[in-house]
Amino acid sequence: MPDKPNGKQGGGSSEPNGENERAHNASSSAGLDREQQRELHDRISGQTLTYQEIKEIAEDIKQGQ
Amino acid sequence: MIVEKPNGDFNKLFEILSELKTKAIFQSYHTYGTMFIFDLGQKNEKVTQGRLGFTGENTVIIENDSWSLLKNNKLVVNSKKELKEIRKYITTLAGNHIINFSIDPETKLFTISLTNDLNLEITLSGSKYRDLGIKLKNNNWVDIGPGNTWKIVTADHVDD
Repeated sequence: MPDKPNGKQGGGSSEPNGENERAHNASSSAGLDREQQRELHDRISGQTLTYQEIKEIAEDIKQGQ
Repeated sequence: MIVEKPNGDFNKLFEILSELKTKAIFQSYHTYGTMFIFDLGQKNEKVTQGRLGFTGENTVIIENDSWSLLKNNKLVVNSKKELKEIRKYITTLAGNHIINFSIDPETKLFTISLTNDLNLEITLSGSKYRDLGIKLKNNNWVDIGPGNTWKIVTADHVDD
């Protein structure tokens, strides 16, 4: 997904509005505990990711990958 | 497991959080959206996807949409700024330490006061998610927000 001019990622109509919400929803959907939530932060840090991509990372963390 | 149920006793919370004071912040970095992490106290090694990194004896994760970093009460950066500005200034928290925590219950403004006249102001939201998470040295996590509430959960806790 391309960045918006302000450097923030845009949300498509099928995605949660807002980047924080996108990460929160992915974490919640995967059922991450607190330590795994920290891991998710570290893995998505500095990247431009869609909700689906974050969700896949969250699911990998949940599965111990 | 929930260790401390959601409540609004911030005097009790600040007593619990006093363990963070005087510990040096050794890393601070943006993660995603307007969220960022800083680690303080003793360094613990961890490997993320083959890369060596560190977590702190204590960790603070800012996860809400609205925050400001001020120096001498003048804005340094806030969550409305461009990402490159957020990334640039968030790293400057490293080397400081926490002096105090406070909250204005009416405005829901939660403030973390740091050395070098820095204040990190976080507006607690009405979101269903926490606004910030703080890892204690016993590995339990304090969730602050939504609103004027906080709770403590174990590291393996998963929200319903």
